[in-house]
Amino acid sequence: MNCRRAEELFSDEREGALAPPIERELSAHLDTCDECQSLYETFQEVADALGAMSVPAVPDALAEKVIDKSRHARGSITTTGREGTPFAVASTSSSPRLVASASWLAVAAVLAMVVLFRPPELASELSRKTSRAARHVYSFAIRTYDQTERWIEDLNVLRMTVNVAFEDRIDQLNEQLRDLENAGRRSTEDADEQSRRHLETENESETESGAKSGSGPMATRPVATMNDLGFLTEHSSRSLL
Amino acid sequence: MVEDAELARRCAKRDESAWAMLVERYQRRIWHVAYQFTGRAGEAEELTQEIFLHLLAALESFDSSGSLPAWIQRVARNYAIDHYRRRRRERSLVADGEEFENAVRFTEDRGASSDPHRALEQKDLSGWLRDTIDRLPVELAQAVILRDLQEMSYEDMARALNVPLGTVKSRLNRGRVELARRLKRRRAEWSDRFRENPSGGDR
Repeated sequence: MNCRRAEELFSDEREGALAPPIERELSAHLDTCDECQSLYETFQEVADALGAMSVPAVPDALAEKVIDKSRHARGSITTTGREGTPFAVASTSSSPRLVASASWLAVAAVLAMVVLFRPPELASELSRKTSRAARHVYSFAIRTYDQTERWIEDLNVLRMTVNVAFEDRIDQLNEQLRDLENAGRRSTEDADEQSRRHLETENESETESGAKSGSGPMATRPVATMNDLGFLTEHSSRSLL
Repeated sequence: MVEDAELARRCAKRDESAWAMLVERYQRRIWHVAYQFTGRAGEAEELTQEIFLHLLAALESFDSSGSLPAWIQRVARNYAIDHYRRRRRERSLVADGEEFENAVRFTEDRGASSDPHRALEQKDLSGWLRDTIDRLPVELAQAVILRDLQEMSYEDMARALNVPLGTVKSRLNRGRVELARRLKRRRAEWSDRFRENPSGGDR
């Protein structure tokens, strides 16, 4: 047996776990090797000292410090703040269930606002703002529920509900805007058509009466021109009479 | 007296009165784990608080059909093992030469004799061993702490350290032998120092 192998057996020898032949071999090596014998004796001294190492008594007020620190830790125990009940039932200020309820209420309020504010010009801007608010509510809630699959599923349903609701609103608003645009376009086209017809009527009247055609301003005011012409015609007729 | 399972259930629901009871009931056990891993009262106090906060967060995962003391001991030890590894990485250990000088001051400050044969009395040996464990390679130090200070079984050590049983035994033996080797070296240095300066001390 060499020195390295002898060292490897120290712990097993101390615990009585060596087979008798190996134990005899180790003993024989230690008898002949002063270095290993010296190390073996120190090894036994160290092992004894390690086994005898004591732990001081628990410091005063350690439990109070732990409880105090627990109150300040995120998501940990807090008191109700009522006098004389320092260890009363914990408040639910950070309870996931309360946060869940608050989140649902907030989202419901957001949806209600979208439904109530119907004017299209407001609804578009409102939709953007409420979308942002809903996203904030959702991200806040998701941080709270990350350890609970059931709540995460609820939030997925909530997200889909919000998305569908907003998509429906936006679709409706877009349709309304399209209708208004079409209505406006039709109105403009009707006015243009009317103007064109008036101009055609005026030109025909001028040709028939043999009067000189009006200059630029007259052309831009067809109705006035016709009246003027009518007045002059009538006035001329009286003078002649 | 509130049963452990009920206590754990109420703590998981953040009932402070139950939490205070649990802390009171298990503070000694956690303190022992923390002190044996740190060897210093101040650090042990901080680690005790950290372990309790970790337990509070982990209580929701406690299976009430199991043993709460065993679960607490296991969670606390696992946390302490990880903490010890982190602390060893962060801490810049003093060099061996400084260690020797510190050991001289350590003994002289306590009015111990300069006689090398009396210099390492039991109390001083414990302090020196505790410091020297922290200078061993971290795997060897963990094995010595878990087996010799916490009296953990080899099987539990293998599970906690996630290594085979044979590796646990090998690390423990190497850790003890290394401590013995360093103690021998230190005594030899003390003897040399005494021969050079028999009056004791260098002041």
